[in-house]
Amino acid sequence: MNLKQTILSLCGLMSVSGNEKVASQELERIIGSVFDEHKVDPMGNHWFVKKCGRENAPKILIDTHFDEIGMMVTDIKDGGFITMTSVGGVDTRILQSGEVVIYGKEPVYGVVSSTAPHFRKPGESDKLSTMEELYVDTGYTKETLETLVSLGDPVGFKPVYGELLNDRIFGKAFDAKSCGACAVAGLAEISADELAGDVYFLFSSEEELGCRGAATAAFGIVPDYALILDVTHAAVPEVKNRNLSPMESGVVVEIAAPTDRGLTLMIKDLCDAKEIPYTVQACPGSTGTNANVIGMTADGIPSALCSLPLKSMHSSAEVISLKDAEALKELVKAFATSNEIAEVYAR
Amino acid sequence: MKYSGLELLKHLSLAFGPTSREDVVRNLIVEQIEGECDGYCEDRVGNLIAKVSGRGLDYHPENPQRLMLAAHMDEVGFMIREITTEGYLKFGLLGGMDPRVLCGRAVTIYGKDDKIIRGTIASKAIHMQTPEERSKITPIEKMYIDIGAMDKEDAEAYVSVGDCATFASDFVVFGENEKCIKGKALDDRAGCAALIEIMRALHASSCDLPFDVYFAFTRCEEIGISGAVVAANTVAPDYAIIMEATAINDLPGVSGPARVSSLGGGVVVSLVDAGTIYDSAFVRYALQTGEDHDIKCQIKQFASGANDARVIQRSLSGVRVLGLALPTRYIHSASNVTTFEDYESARDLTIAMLKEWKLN
Repeated sequence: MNLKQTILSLCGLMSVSGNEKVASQELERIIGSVFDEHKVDPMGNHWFVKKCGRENAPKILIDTHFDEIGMMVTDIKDGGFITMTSVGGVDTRILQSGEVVIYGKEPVYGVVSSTAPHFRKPGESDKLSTMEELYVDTGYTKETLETLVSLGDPVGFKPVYGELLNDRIFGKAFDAKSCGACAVAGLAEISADELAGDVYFLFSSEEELGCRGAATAAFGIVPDYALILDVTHAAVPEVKNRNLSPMESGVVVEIAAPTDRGLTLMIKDLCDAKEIPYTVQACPGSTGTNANVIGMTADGIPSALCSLPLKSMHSSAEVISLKDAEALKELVKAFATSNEIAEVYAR
Repeated sequence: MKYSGLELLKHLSLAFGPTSREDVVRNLIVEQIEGECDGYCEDRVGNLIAKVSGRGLDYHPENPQRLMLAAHMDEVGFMIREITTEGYLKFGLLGGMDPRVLCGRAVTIYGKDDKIIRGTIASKAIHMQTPEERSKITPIEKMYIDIGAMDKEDAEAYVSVGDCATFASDFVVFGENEKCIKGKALDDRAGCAALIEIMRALHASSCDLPFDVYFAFTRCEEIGISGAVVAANTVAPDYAIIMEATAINDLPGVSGPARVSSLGGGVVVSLVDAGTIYDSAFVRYALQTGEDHDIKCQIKQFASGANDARVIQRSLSGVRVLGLALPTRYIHSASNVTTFEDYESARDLTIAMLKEWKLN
C-alpha cells in the first residue's frame, strides 16, 4: 500500500463533519482490504477491525478522525451564487478566490467571490469579510442551481494536491485523514499473528465540532487501551512563543494531561527501540483532539496521543512531510504489535 | 502546436508570465502567429509586434494609415525579495493585488535555471491567530511562500532573490452549459488570444483593409510602467484598440452602475476609466457595429481601473483609442471568471469593425 497515494485518496474524499457516511463505499474501496470488518455506526463513525485470530485477545483502539472542516449552503441567490456558513473552524482568510465543490445532487464547482478594492466601502480597507459575507459563484442560473443544490448541502475545498521540496506535500484535509492513511498503511504491512490483539481502527466523526463521534464509538468498542492520532501545528516563523516541533522531526509524542502517562512513556520507548524519529511535546490543557474524550469513556480507557506535524491547519493548502508520515506509520506498526504494552494495559 | 478558441485561451492562461517574465508567453504567442501575419518582431523592450498589411483602393501604400491592437502579455504575480533563515520566501507584488486573495493559494516559481518550484502562500493557522488577526486581513509583509525548504541554504539551492512567481491555477470550464471559465491571468491573456484570432481572421480573409493592422503584445502593464508606450511610439498608429479584461462587480446585493458590467453581457465598451476618456466616435462605431452584427455589447458603467489606452492615447501626437474588454470577475486573483461567449463577442466585434471600416 503506497502511503502517499493512500493519503491523497483519503484526503481527497469529501467528509465535511456530519457527512462521514457519504463516502462509505469509497472508503471501503480504498482501505477495506486491510481489515476483516467495516461497520458504520449511528454517529457516522467508521469502525474497521483487523483480527489477530486469538480468543479473548485485547482490543486495541487506534483512532483518528475522518471528518474535515468545511462549509454548508445557507442560501441560493440570484445569478447563481450561494452563501455558506462554517462547519468547524475554517480559516476564513484563505477563502476569497479559492475554489470549492458544493456536494449537491451532483458535485457543483464554484469560486469564492472577492470584491475588487475599488468597489469596497471606505473604512473597510483592512477588514476581513466573514464567511457569511462571501458568495460562491457557480456560473449557473438560480433556477438550475436550485435543482442541483439544497440548503444544508456540504461544501468542501476543491481537492488540489501538490509537491513541495523535501517530500512535503500540500492540499486539503490532511487534518486528520493523513494520520488515518499512516495507520492503515502500517496495519497493511503486518500480518494478523503479529498483532498484539484485535485492532479497531476508528475513523471517527465530527471531531471538528467537538469530538462528538469518538466518544460514542469508544463506548461501543470499549477497547483495552487506545492510541489517538491527529495532526499538530508544526513550527512556523510567526509563532515563537510555543516550542512547536519542526517539520521532519518525526512523530510528536504528546505528554497530555488527559491521557495515560505510562502508556505515553511506553510509546516513547517504542520509538527509541525501533529508531522512529520523534519529539516530545507537553500538552497541559485540552488537547483539542479525541484524546479529550476517549480516555474518560465507559470504565476508563488508558490512551495516548501522537501527532503528525502540519502547517497551515484548516486551510485548503495544509502542508505535511511524507517523512513524518512514514515515521507515524512505523509507530502504528510498533504499537499494534507491542506485546509489552498489551501485557500492561489489557483488562 | 497551434491552438484556437477555448484551447488557445487555456494555454495562454496557464503560461507563466508575471510582469518582467513575459518571455514564456511571448514564445507561445510567436508559435501561434507564425505564418499568420505579414511579419513580426520583438522590440527593444520585449514587446512583440506583428503586422497584417492593408490593400485595396482606400489603402495608400506610400503613406499607409495604421491601426494598432494592443493586449498585454504580463499578469500579476510575485517577486522574491528575501529568503529567510528558516527557508521561507518573502515577496513583493508585481501589480496590484488585494491581500485577501493571497493566503492559502498555490504558486509556481521559476527558480534557478528556470526550474519550476511549487509553493503555497502560507498562513498562520486560525487556531494561533488572535481575535484581532481573525477579523483583519494579513498584510503582505507578514506573508511568505513555503516551498518546503528546510532552511535558507536549502531554499537558495532552488530559488534566488529576484525570481518571479505566479498563481498556480488550473483552467476550469464550469456552470450553466459550461459557459463559464476560470483561470489565472485571463487579464490579459484573453486579450492576447483575441489578438491572435483576429490576426488569423484578417490574414486569411481577402478583405481590403484600408490600413496596416499592427498587433502589439505588450509588457509591464500590471505595474503601470506600460511597455505599450514603446509599441505605440514604434508603430505610430492613427487608431488603437486596447483589448483588456475589466473588473466587474455583478455580485448579489450590488445594483446599478456599481455592478460595472455583467458576466455574459457581451464585450464591455468603455466610455471613460481612471486613465482615459475614449474617442466617442470610435465608441459609437463599436456599438453600432455590434448592433448591425448582433454581437452583444455593454457599456462599462463605472469609471474605474486603467489600462494601456492611457499611454497609447497620449503617445506621439495623440492616438484615437477604443477600449474593449472582457467582463471578468475576481480579476487579479488566482481565479478570474469570465465566459467564452464574452470572449467571442470581443473578438468578433473587432473583426467586424476592421473588415468594414467606417470610422470617420
